Amino acid sequence: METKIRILIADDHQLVIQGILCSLKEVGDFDVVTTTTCDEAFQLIKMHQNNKPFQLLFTDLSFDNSTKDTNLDGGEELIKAIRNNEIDIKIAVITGHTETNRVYNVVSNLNPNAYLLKSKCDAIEIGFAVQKMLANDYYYTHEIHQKIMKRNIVQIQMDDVAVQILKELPNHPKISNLEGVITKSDGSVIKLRSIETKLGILRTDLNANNNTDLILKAKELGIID
Amino acid sequence: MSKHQLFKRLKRLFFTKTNTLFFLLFISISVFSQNKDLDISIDSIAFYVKNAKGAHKFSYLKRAVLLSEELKIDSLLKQTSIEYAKQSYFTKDTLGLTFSTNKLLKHFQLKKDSFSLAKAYHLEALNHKLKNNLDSTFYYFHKSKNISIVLKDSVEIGRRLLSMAIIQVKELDFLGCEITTIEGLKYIEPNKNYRTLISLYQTLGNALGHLNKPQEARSYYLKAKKIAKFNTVKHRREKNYLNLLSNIGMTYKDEGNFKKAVSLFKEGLNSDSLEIKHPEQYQALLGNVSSIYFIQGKIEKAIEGYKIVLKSRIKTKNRYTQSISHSFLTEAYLKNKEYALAKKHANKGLELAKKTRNNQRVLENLKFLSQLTKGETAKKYLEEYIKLSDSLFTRERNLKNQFAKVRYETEKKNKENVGLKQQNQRNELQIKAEKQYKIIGWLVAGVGFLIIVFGVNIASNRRKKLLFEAKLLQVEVREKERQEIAKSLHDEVAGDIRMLHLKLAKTNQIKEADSLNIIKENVRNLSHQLSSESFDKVVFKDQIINLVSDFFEPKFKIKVNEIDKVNWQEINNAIKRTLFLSLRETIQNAKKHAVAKNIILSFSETKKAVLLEVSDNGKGFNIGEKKNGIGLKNMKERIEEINGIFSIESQLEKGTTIKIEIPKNGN
Repeated sequence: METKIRILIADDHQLVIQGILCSLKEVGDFDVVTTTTCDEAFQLIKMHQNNKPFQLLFTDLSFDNSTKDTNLDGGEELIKAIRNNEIDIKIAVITGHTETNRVYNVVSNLNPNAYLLKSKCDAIEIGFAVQKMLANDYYYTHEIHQKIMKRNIVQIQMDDVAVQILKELPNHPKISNLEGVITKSDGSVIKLRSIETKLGILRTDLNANNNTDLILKAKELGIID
Repeated sequence: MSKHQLFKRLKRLFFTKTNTLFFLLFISISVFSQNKDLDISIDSIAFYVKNAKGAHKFSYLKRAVLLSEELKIDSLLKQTSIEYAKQSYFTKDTLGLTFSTNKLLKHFQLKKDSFSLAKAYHLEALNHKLKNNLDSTFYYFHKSKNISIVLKDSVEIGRRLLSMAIIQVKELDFLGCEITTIEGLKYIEPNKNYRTLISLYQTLGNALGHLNKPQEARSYYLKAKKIAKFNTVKHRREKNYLNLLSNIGMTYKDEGNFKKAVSLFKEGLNSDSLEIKHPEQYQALLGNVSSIYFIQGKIEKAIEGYKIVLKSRIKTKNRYTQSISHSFLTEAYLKNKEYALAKKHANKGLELAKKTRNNQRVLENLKFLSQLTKGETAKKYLEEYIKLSDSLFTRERNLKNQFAKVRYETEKKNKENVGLKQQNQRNELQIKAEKQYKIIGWLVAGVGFLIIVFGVNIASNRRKKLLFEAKLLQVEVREKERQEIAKSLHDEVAGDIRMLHLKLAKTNQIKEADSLNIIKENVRNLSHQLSSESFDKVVFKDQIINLVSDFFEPKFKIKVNEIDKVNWQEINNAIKRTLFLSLRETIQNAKKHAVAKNIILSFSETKKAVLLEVSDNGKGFNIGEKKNGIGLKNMKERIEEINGIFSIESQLEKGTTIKIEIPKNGN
């Protein structure tokens, strides 16, 4: 007998929970449990870990109903607790927070499987996210994706060495020729291995397939002229 | 040639008066010297001193003294005064001595030259000696000696002691003399001043002789004889030698060894042209030989010798020794029962002895006369004899007492001086200790003061720091409050609006829904602006990157310089927050109001502060004209709250630059 996928929704606003519930009903038949506090959410997840565990968690980031006795004060804390306990559950953040600072913190530190925005998402997007998560993949909504990309660009621009590599790369037929050309701010030479590592990071940051694609993307994004 | 050198040469001249050559050289050199007046004066002094001989002796020397005084050359004045005094003494001129004494005392008062004082006392003593005031003489010699002791001038000490000893012999205080001479030897023996040493030995020998210790006396005479050869002046050397022969002979005579005594006397008498060269020694030797003849009962021979001696003494006008000769003759004639002659000599001797105050002889003669006369006259002489003898005895005892007293008092004074010295030293030590205490006190006070200043400084620094920390705390508290507001704005207001929006959307009131959406977005933005959470979770550099990313667009480029130059981990969170908020406000202003295309952020750090400079290429604004917006005002307040400095520069159409400097620890 095929068991239903169990989903937990944590949000301090009943209305939001209702909204998500509506959307999920459109997507498929799920066994959904809801809660309005992080503490309860974590308790539920832990309680059912061995007996009918939840496969998915939809959680907000800020919870307005925390009191003095609240243990987990907000979505970040909840996710951190789950990660620390190495519980196997896919996490989707569904929130209104779009400030890069918060997004960056959540994405880079907590690595959620999905990041959705309450204001923008609808049943279709939620369904897409559920699919992706169940396939062990990631889904960040477009706006969040854009933000992360922009952030990468800014970081690359601030990184003198990265800018040097991007500028010099088209002038040399081989990567090994870059050794001795690229220098740190104090004038010391950077080794080939470091250059290659940096190139790898840059490709990932800018979603580039290869070095040529990287240069094109960098030019497109205005990192280099 | 310097003045000083001149004096030196002149001084030397006094000691080597015979060195005419040198004198001429001196004259010839000084002719060329520039200070002519002075030189001429000094020349004349030298001339006076040099030519002070014969009839002009005194007038010249006195002129030298007066000229020296006039020129106010103290060293010269001292020299000339002493020279003048010496000559005055030899000619028994007491007025000259007094004059010199006064000059020396004046010199002492002016220059505090103790040598002058010692010399002045010496002259005073000589003055009294000329006046026959023996006790005063003794007293001044004694004073002069004591000053010389202080000056450690051994030769002067020895000479004064010798003079004192001679006086003591004269006053029959032989024991005192012995003591004095032995003390003198203490000073003179080590420095080989032979002239004084010979005299001291002789005087000591004389004293011992009178004390009936011929053997001891002889040993000193022999010592003197041994060193007599070192006397460089031939005349004096011979005199010494003859005197010693006479004296040594006398010791043998006292021991009854007449043969040896006579042989010695005869050895002396046999020397070449004795009577002319050394009449006194001749007289003494001949007298001595005669006295031995007398003892041996060769009266005629003795009388013959005494007569020759007396003649010779009359020739040399020495009345003192003449009286002695008369005494001996009286004795001899008495023995020979030639009473008339004896009486004649006794009377003559008495007269001379009285004149020369030779009390011993007076007594002797009185005794002879009382023997030579009869009845009332004899009684009268005897009475006179007894009276004089008594008075002499008392006087002698008084004198001895006086000498002893002088010595005793000085010793007492010395002891007192030693005591005073010790007390002085103690006082000095105490003063030193007090000084040290004072210094220590000052040091302690200084250190205390420094500590207080230091303490106050620390206290004020701590107070400042506490204040700063309180401010930082305030900032954090306010930030929390802001976040609370942001949260409720976001969650409650935005949620409610969303609800309304959904309802409106459902009832197809699209226009209202859209405007509500705009309101919702505004609220959300406001909420985001108010909140700046996750500071603890994200490192500051990433926060800045995130902030920049929020505003970054291809048409609004933000360049960040040297963000790694600051060690952000060591910067207080409140400072970072203030920087973050200021930065956000500035970027917002640049984007929204200035419509800038480029913006450059530069970070830097000093030992005490963090610095941030933000410049854009936007429209700029007139700082004086436009009242600072609420954003700028808030930013300024925020920075100044934590003792930071905020400055802004703007040029129309060129851009705006703001500079922020925040101290790391509130100073």
